[in-house]
Order: sequence, then C-alpha cells, then structure tokens
Amino acid sequence: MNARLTATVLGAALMALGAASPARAQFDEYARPQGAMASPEWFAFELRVGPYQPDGDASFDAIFGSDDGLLLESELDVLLLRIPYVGFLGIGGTIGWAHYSAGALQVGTNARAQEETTLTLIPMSLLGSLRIDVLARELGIPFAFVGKLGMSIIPWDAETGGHQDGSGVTFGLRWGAQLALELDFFEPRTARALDEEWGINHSYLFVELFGSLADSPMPVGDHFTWVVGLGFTL
Amino acid sequence: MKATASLLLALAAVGAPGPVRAQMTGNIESIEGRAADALTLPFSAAECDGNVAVTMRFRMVPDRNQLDFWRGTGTTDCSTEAARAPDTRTCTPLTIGTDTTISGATEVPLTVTVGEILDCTGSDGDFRVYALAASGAATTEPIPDGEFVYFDLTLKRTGPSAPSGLTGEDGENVLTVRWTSSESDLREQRIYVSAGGCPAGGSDGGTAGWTLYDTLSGDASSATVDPDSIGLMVGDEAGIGVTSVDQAGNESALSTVCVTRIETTGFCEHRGGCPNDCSVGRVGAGGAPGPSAFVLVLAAGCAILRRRRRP
Repeated sequence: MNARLTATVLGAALMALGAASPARAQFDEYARPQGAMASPEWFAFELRVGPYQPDGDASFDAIFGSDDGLLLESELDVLLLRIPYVGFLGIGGTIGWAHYSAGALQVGTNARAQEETTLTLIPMSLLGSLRIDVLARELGIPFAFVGKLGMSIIPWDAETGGHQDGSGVTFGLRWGAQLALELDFFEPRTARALDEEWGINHSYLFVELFGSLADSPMPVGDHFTWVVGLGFTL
Repeated sequence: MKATASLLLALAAVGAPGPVRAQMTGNIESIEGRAADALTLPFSAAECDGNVAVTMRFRMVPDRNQLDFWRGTGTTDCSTEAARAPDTRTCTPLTIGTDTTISGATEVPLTVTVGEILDCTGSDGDFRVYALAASGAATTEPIPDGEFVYFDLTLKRTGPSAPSGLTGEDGENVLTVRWTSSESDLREQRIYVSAGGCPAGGSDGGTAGWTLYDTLSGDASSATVDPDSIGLMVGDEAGIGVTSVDQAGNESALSTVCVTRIETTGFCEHRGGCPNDCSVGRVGAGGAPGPSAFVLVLAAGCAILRRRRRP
C-alpha cells in the first residue's frame, strides 16, 4: 500500500471519529470519575415543595377541608461515608413550613365567620440517608435513589382571631424514598464550572415520597405524601 | 495710548470692589405644637382656629426702621413697587401685632400668630409672605435686593374625605374593619369605637361620643379591635368608626359600621381542645411561626456554598 492510500484511509478514519466525538465526549465528561479535578463531596442540600395535610384528625377536615397547605421545605445532609459502587451514607435534617387557614364556624348556624382560625406547622426531622448513585457514577445513567429514615419533629401553633388556642411539638417516625435525575448529564461543562466556582458536585431534580407519623400528642403528621424539588451535592 | 489708558482706568473702576451688601436672611424657627421636622407642612384649620404661634428669626437685617410684612398668593413677588402700590397692588399688607421695630439690630427674633400672616377665613392655597426692611409700615418704597426675605406657606383648612367602603367583620376574638382611603398621602387614620352599642343611623360625621381606640399609619386599610378591651360580651353590638387625617392635621368626617361579637368555633375548639405547651413548641417569640426559619436555613446554605468556593 503506498503512502498516499495509507494517508487517505487514516484521514477518513480520523474524520469518522471526529464526527462521532460530540456525543461521546458528552458521555465521557459526565461519566468521568470524580478524581483530582472534582471537589470533595460532603453535603447534600435540597429545596422542595409539595402538598402536606395532617392525617387522623376529623376536625382538621371539618375546619380546613381539602387545604393541603403546600409544604415548603429544605434539607441539609452530611455525606459521612462513601461506600464503593453503592453511594453515600449520610445524616441530616429538614425544616419546613406549612400554614392552613379558614373561617371559624359560627356557633348555632355552623356558617363560616370572617374570623380566621389557623394552624401553622414547622415540620422538622433528623434523618439518616442512603444515597445510591452508582448508576450515575459508574454507568453514566443519570439517576440516583435515596432512602431516608428518622425522627419527625413538628412544632405547631393554632390560633383563632389572632388569639392562640394551643401550641406544642409533636414527634414521630419519618421516612422517605427519593428518585433523583442528575442534571450534569445535560450540561457537563456547566456542571464542571459549578464545581470549580461553587463546589457544587452535582445538581438534580427529584421527586420524593415521604411520610410523617407525628401523631401524638397532636396529630399533625401526613402519613403519605410527596414533594418535588431541586438538590445539590457539595 | 491715551485712549488705551482711559479704557484701562475705566475697567479698573468697574472692577474695583465696592462696599459688600449683606444679604438679609430669615427662617421659621418653630411652630407651636409642631415637631422641628414638620415646619413645612400646611397650616390646618385647627392651627388657624387655635391661632398658634409662629416664631421667626431674621439675620443680617439692614439698618431700617422696621420689618414690613406683605402677603401674596402663589409665588407673587411683593418686593416690587407695583405689587404694593395702592392702584396696582397684588399683595396685601399685613398688620403684625408684635413689635417689628428693628432699632438697628441685625438679628431680629419675632413671634406672630398664624392669623396675622395668613387669612384663616379665606380660601385654601399657597401663599408667599414677605418681610421687607423698610422705613415704615405698608411701605410702597422700592426695596433693594438683599433687603427682604419671604416664606412660602400653605393653608389647608379643608379636611380629607372620609374613608369609604367601610365594612365590619363579626368575630369572637377580634372584630375587623376594612375600608378604602379616599386620598393618598395621609398622615394617619384614627379608629374610634362606640362600645355602648351601635349608634342608630351611624354618626353625624363627628367624633363626639366616640372613643379613640387606635391610630394607624396613613396607608392602612384595615384595623382590628379586641372585643375584650372594650368590654364587649358575646351577642353585644358595637360601632367602629374610622377617620382620615391629612398632613396638615385636618381630620375627616367619621365613617362608621356596626359589628357584633359572635361566638365562633376554631380548629382547637372544634376538636375539643389542643395541648398547650408553648415552652416547647414555639419557634419564634409570640404569634404563629413564620417562614423566617426557612429563610435562615437558605442563608446558611448559601454561606456554606461560598465558603467551599475554590480559590
């Protein structure tokens, strides 16, 4: 084979590689191990929102009806231990806010008065978590699964017409199961820049099923509900 | 050469400094019943009727016999002879009861009443009050620049419109009224109550017989009354009234509404009571816990992000 033919074949092969390179490069950048270029991964921080309605209290339904509050919540986890080919073990906590209001019932007629009766919750929790991200780290499949279990701690406050009727703290079990879609897959360069600039290793959208069994002494737990949100590992 | 020298001499004569004429100045130092930062507000009907004292001070006063006061509407210039001449005058000479003789003093304090410098029986409006250093009262003599000062004053005897659309909300723990202010830039709004029952036909617009309950900011549009604080029992009716007060201090007519203390059932009462353990349950001091704790967590998260930023 003469030199001209060799050069032509080599050139065609290089062009073919070059044409395929963008998709491959994207995968490579996403799937690259978090080596020397990545910052340490110590925390997970999440912002989430979803419905929340205390279960097990007929009076809640009678007064607030189908009001599902809208729970605003944040979570901060410390990623304590990296388990190879599995993910992280961590501990953390959440704090949120939900508020319910309705007209009080007028005695005698049961008609709604304009005087407001309210229930305000600050759902908090202390959780242990297992963050399974092996698919994303090892195979380039941008999903992670998180299981959570811990204690639900819910300070609450009830008022009518601005006068406090009761307040306290209710404790119980809390669980959660999360499916997260890692966003690094879509913009690998931006993801790397976020890490270099802010120390954000990964960002993700998630949906989480969770429940709070905080029912005593005041039933303010929602046994089964969901939230969606945005999270970061740092 | 001779012409050039003459020109230079003439220029020198023009440019030579002459005797420096001091500029007379003056200011309003105080107005009876007003704070120091409220001296530029309009004069109200109450201030006119009460003939409150206005203290002025003049400085660098020229060597004349007396201070001669004139008043013009709007921005009328009373320093001109035409504005004071009997046939063409657009300004009104004022009679100041206090001694306005200068007697050679260069600094003159002077206290007058509102009625002496404004026409409290006339129309509302903006006025300019001049103090001229003159040889006599009601002078028509020319007044050189620097030998007079003036003050811009506003008379506003007409009060604001009464709040409109007043509605009342019955309740057990709180009685609420809502309204629409008819004017902007109000100084405050006053809440009155008539706890001994709701006056038939409301009010004649006056506040006689009503008790001042609260004073709110000028942009308020609702108020609450604690029925316990006015001794209202369940089933009793009370009147609540609202007035607006403009920047001058004029108070509008009273708008009123009747409300009743009714018995209601809130969340806790409906379920037969709630535990009450404030010492454990409260996140904030007083009132319902708000989203502030949530915001604090967000701030903490941002702080952590910044600290971990790579060099």
